[in-house]
Amino acid sequence: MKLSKGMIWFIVFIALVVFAYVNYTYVYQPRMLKIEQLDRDIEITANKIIEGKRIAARLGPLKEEYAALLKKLAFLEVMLPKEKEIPDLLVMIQDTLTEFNVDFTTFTPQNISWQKDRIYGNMPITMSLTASYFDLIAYLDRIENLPRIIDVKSLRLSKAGKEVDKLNISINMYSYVLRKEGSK
Amino acid sequence: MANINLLPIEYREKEIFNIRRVLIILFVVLLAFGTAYLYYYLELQIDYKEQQLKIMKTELAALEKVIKEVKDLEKDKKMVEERIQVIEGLINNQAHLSRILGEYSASLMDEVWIDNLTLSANQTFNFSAHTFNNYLIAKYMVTLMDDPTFDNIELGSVRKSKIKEEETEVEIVSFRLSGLFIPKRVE
Repeated sequence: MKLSKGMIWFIVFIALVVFAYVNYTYVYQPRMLKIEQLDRDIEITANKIIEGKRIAARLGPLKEEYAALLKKLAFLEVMLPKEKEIPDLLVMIQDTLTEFNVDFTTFTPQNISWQKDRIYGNMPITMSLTASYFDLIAYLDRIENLPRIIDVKSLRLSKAGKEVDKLNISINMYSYVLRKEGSK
Repeated sequence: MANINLLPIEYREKEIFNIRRVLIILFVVLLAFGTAYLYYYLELQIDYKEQQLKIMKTELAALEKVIKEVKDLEKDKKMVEERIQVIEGLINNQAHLSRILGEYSASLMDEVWIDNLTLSANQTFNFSAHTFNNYLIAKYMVTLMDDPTFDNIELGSVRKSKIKEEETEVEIVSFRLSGLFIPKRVE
């Protein structure tokens, strides 16, 4: 069977079209899609690396800041101990009482009251004292500046018998205890 | 004289270099070569990009350890800062009643004797005292009202009484006052 020239050209044309289609569909397109996907992944990863480097650059200064903060906290934690530390507190208060010529009648530390969401608890303390007005001011000034935080919340003064310059003093104060990390 | 091939077609010597056939073969070879080139070029690109991505991911994995360290450190730092803030808040918010007592004593008049005094952390105070007459109470109240350290000065009560002073009875008035103390800012 002899094909006509036109038919041969038609068959060649069809073969070329099929060849081009097969090449495009099975060679070019899937690889181009993969390349595009890889380009996108590379771009995303490159951005992450830039951002990562920016964050990583903060590590040095951050470590220094953190070390300084820890040092500050260690200093402040002396003012706010993790235990009641009543003996130390009693010694501090007695030293101050002696220094300012203040007589004490009672010293009553109470249970720590812990509040939810607070990192510290309040330890109320009540004290009864006898002192002159100005000795009392000096005494209060000193205990408000002790190495442990003591906050005098209220006080009541009244005359102590017939002595002109002596006062009976009743003080309510708070000392604080830091919540231990991890405890609820 | 012209050479004429008189052999029948089937016996004639076949043309070795038919130009059309050569072109077709060349075209097919070119097509095959082009397809192979395209295939390898794309594969090479893919391979190169995959390698690049792999290197970048290794770098990122190393960076992620540092990033995690930074984030953990930031979290810890925030926690420490909060603790410091709380402790500093406690220090700064101390009632400083010694200061209040100092200011209070400075405001006292010579003719007024305090009997008892109550001070609270919310800066309120009330006291009972004695003096000689109502004019002095009024004067003392005005003194306190004019003092920027005191506010809301209220008179609770006044009661007349007598005390013995060197065998003679002296008339005095006892009174109760309450108010609010406004501490001066200490820098």
